[in-house]
Amino acid sequence: MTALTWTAAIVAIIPLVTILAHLLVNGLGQLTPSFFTQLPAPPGVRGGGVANAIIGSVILVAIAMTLAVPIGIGAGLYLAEHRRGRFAQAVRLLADVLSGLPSIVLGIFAWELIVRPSGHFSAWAGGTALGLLVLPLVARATEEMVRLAPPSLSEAALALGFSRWRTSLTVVLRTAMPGIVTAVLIAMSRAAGETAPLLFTAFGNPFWSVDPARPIAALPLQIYAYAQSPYDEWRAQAWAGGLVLLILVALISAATHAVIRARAKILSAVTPRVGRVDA
Amino acid sequence: MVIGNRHAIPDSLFDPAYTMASLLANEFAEASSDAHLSALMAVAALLLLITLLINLLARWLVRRVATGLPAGRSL
Repeated sequence: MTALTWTAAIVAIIPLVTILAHLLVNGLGQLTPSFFTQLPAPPGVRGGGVANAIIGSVILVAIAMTLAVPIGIGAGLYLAEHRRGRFAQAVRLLADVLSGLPSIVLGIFAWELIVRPSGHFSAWAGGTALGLLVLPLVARATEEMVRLAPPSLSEAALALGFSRWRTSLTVVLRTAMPGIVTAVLIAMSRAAGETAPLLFTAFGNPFWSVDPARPIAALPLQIYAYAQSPYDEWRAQAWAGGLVLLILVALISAATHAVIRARAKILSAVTPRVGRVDA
Repeated sequence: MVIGNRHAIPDSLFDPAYTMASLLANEFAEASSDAHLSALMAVAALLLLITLLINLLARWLVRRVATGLPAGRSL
């Protein structure tokens, strides 16, 4: 049995290792400083970079997070506090449906909602699509984390005369914070890697643009466009772009683990005191 | 992208085919007529419906399995 599970574990990491090896072999040669600082070059011209796509991705993820984090945390808090209500059940189901929805559908929704009325593609639309994509992730994770918070803590706060909203904000959310931060970071890497919702919302842009009201480039979009192109230089850049994206996601993941470890230390320092209050 | 994008029902699993999601990705940006756009919207709506049904089915399954467990061990 141990041998079987060991084999399964090995097989499970083979795809990641293969992808990493492929990206390193094909992309590492392209990773020059100019790749991070220059704009895309026309086909046939050597050099060029994806600076606009990197800043575009940052802007898109920022818009998405501004939208998803407050609403997601609020919704998660509601779901955790009103566990059994009919409305909460419905919201929970719809949140699960939303997170299971193919991401392209969210792109179409954002197109209908923002691009069609405004008449042009924009970073607002792309960020909204990405925000909707990660909203259920944040909400459901917040709910789980708030449920894990010991009820004795909020009972103690209520007994001290805290109002409900202050208990929620300063006690319950504070206790659940490491888990929520982890979920937000995971949501960030999910949003940073998505192509489909951006195809007809952010649309991509070969020039430098940081105006959220205009079409904007994004790293996954740039990779998608380059990988489909008939030019060798562009396809090579697609590999390098993939490598950069992977490194970015790995960095976010490392930050997640760092947060978990740091918070675990703080919590273990706080918990004994809480235990004494309980007794 | 790697599925082949062919407008036909495949005879074998190795034939090029199409998925609803990749159809949307490929054609939505180029849909010019209102009918085309509406058809693609319908595909999106169908995807939403399928997701909803699968989620309801999953919930029903979980509830069935949970009620089969001895009392006090609900999921």
